[in-house]
Amino acid sequence: MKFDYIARETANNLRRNITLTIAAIMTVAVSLALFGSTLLVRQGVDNVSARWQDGIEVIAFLKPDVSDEQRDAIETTIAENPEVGRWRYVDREESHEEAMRLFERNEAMRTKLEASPDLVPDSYRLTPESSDVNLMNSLGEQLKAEPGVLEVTDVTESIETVVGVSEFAQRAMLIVGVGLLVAALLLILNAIRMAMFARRREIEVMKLVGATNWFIRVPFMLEGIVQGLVGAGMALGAVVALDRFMKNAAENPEYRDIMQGFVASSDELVMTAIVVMVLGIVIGAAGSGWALSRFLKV
Amino acid sequence: MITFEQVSKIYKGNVEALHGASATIEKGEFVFLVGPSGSGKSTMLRLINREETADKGRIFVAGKDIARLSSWRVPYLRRNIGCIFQDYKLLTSKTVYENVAFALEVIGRPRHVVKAQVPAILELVGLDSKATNLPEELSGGEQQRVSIARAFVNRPLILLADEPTGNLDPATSVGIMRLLDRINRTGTTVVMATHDRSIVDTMQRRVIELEHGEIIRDQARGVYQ
Repeated sequence: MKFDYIARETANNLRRNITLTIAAIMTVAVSLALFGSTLLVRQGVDNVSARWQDGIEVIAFLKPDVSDEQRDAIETTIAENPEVGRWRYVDREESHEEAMRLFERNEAMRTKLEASPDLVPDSYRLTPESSDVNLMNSLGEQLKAEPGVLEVTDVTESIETVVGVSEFAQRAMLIVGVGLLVAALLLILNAIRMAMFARRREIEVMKLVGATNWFIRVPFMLEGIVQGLVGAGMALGAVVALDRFMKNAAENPEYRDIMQGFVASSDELVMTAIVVMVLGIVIGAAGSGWALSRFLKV
Repeated sequence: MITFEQVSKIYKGNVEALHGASATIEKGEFVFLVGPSGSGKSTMLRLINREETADKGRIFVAGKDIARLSSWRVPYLRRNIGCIFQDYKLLTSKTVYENVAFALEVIGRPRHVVKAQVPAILELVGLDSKATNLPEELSGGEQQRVSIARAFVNRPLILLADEPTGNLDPATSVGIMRLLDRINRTGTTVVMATHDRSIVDTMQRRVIELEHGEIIRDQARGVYQ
């Protein structure tokens, strides 16, 4: 009896107020989708940073006409530098093979490489003792000063760029997501307020005949929670789709190296899903609770 | 059944709606509250079912000091008090049957109780043939009967009536009063605020007269004056 009464009233409220209900649900969905995606991508970026942290390399490319003396001098510099952990010499053939592998799918580049196998210069690959950016920079400067060195690339720079850009994007998404979450809260508040206004006569009669406060409140609370939950469900769909997309991209050899790190594990996806659903319920309950405490005097 | 002890009620803006009112209404009594508009009749009714709370004095309903009732118990107090109004307060989207059933459903009465009691009470008020009509399809007197059915379906100890005949013609009013009299005879205490002189004079029941928030007359078997 009570159960069907409550289910019926909740459904009626949602239907009666369909436009506002849809607006509230959509806003919850978009805000939580942004929120969930940010969470998912953040975990991915953490993975990437962790992965690159122990593989950081400084590469010193040598001039094509480097002399043996110059090469010896460079090796001495490297060997004497306490900041250098591991290091190795990569000769022209190995560099060529590496380049051919990297540009596996790029026909034009492969043709070019095949035509002139000496295109990629010899290099020294160094792994510093620590990943301290300043130490790496000073190491880079030192190597650049050597006469036989053509160019020094420092992988940290590109990682920092990637991480920096993604952090900026995440922050922007988070701000927009939180802003929309507030909008969703206010929309639910208003949807419940409208529902209460539409049913003010019924509420008046219910109070007169002695319906308990909870009995009056529950359908409105549920209305808000349903809005939050449906929105969260849609957001979850979007987050799962994003996860699929990233996993597919990671399987594509063209992007494998870039994307692999970003993929979140299934535990992380489950965590994200839980956070999104809980947030949906909280937003719905908070919006309707607020409306009830402000506009329903019992 | 109902006791007012030196009750005062002051609304916002220092309007004193009731000033030191004292009265005791016994179980099964039928009492008219008379007096000009703004004399405090409705305030007295609203204090009894705790739609308002007294600023001074004490009010006892069924032996309980209702000011000391915690707010979650107020609904249970109201289940013992039926209310009818000049404007009926029926739900326009519900049928006669649904309006009456609503009062039982929202206090959690099981379905078989609703199914048994609603037709019985509709028969009592003489509207069993109109159960499926909407309120707008009924006359004023019939609508008031529906509201009486709704107020009485839960068999309350007290029935509060705030100018129930205010919108009705004299002949229809007589019918409503007969119904209230019948309900009173079942042992229900009836307190009715009214401006209707002829009703008060014909019924010959206890009359409490108010003026500027004070009880100026309390007379058994009284007239309107």
